[in-house]
Amino acid sequence: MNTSDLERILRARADLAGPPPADLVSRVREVRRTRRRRRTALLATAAAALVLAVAVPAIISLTGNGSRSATASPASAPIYGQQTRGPLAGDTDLVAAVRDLSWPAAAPDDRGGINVNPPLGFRHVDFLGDVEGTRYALVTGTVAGDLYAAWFTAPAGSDAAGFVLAGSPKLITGDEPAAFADTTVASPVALVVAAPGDTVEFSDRAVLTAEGRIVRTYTAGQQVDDGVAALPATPAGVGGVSVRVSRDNITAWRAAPDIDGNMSLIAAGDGSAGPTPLDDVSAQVADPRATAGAVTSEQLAMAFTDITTALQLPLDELQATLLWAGPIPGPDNRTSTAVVVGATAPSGGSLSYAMTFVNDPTGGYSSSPSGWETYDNSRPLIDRAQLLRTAVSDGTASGPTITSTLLIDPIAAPVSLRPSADGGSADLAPGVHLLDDNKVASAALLDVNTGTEVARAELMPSGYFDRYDYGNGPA
Amino acid sequence: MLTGGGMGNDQDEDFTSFVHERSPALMRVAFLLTGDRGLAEDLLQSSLEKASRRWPALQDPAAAYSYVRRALINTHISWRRRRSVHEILHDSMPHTAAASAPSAYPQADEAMAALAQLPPRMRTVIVLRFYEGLSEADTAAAMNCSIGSVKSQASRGLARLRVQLDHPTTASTTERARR
Repeated sequence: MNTSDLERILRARADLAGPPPADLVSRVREVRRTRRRRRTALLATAAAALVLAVAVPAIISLTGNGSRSATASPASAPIYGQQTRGPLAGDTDLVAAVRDLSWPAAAPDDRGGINVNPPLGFRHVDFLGDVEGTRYALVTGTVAGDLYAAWFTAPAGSDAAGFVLAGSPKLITGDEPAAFADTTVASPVALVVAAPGDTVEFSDRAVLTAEGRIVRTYTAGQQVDDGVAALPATPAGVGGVSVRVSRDNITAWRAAPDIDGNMSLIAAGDGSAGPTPLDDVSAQVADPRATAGAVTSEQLAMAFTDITTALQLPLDELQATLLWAGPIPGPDNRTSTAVVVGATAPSGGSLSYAMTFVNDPTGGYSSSPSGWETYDNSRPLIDRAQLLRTAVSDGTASGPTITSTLLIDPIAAPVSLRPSADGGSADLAPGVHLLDDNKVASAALLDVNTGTEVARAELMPSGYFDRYDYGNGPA
Repeated sequence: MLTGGGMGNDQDEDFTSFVHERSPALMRVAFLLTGDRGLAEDLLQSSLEKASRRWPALQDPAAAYSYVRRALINTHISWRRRRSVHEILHDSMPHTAAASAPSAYPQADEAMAALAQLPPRMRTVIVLRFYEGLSEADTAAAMNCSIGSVKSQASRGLARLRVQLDHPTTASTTERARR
């Protein structure tokens, strides 16, 4: 095969991608609306708090000459290009040496060289200091009018030659804080550089409440300097972290830190002894329908890791349950499988999460999330039904996308169930019904003998969204 | 029409036109990067949403295309690193290579399966160099790496593709993530 062959093959293959969704503009529009609603809600909440904080003293002191005016959005504040911050900011020699580091030369061998290398006169060291045994430097630089940020790390006590580029330089807007974590260092932290005067807080994990809501609690981390803070975390633990930066008592920014290093880790079984690699989790998972054999242990672990990473709870504290796994309709010559897992948090709230896998003849597979839903503690998870929609294809334009709507009985259903009479259905597996109507948004399960409704399920939301409220990522 | 977010009506119309005109090409790139049509759609949607926020500064259509393509690359890698498990674990592209319908190019399915087993950055170099037809310099700019890196990744990628095609394997797609 020569390069001409490859070009021809790639063109032929790319043509099989098929057209983009006809409603692509609408989808983008909806994502933007969602983002704006979230931002507006955050600002409104913060503004309401600020109004209260301002109004109460103003009412008490009716003269009001010195009352502050409330603003609905935080003022812009310079973050980069200011005086160097950090415990080593006063080490002018080291600051200068770090500033002069060649970014490409500092890139680890496996990164293959980094092209961005701002001219020396256009660089600035924004942070330099030791945090939890690691020396960190945040350097920004301008190339052709664009501002880039690069994190460097070295063991504490190192000189400039000991620094390596951590991750790749990032094109930044200049008005958003930098949040970073390197899981390869001895004692990782989430390190945030915001504007001087900003309040930096951390949420180490998402919490599933008894009401079935995902919430986060933000607390101050380790104050490193003005507008700079850190949160120590294990390599596995940093995957659950979200950062909140407030300015003038208003949330100015919220996001997960950029993470460099290995994230394929789950919380240790005892919750404290550090991370363990992803491996066979089946021993920690209840399998009341005995369907674990339908998926590989790796696929099962993938489904659960998505939950444990965000909630930062080991499986044995989550009452991990395999609700069902089994084959679903899919393209010819492929094995298509759905796995629906569940977990119940210590609060009693629970969630279910569905993924689909399409195996190919070579032994590989593709995967995608097919649904996610949370429940309050009014009923145990095993009394809940799930309604999910899967869409699988062989990845070619010539092969159709096969959509299926599955209604899964509650595990603890005391009687035999059938879907309500809206549309036909077939039994895909014991306790799993394949509905004919692929547009249903909710469905009921009835006692086959009495016709009494025993359970009802809403369609599980699917696609990419910020399930665990990190504050960023695909909306 | 996209409204708000700093876009005027004319800009909304420009953006909509851009999506209609260029999204098929971008969809093909996304598909080659992900190997999965559903993921490609999500990747394209997310990248266009990012572009929409910067649209007032992206009036040059060529610049806009480059921006979205770069967003595709960055987002693809970012998703793999971040939250969703399958994004984290799939260091290699998911295997969805072989078409159920007879391929016009019988070698294509094997080649795509081999491409799927390349590390993401190597795969991206192959796609940008030999599908998008970018120069080494433009590929380096799009990927934020050195030309030397592009050269070596392309060379090693081609070599591995040849080996894979001569000696196909059934390796798992799920290498442990170490970006």
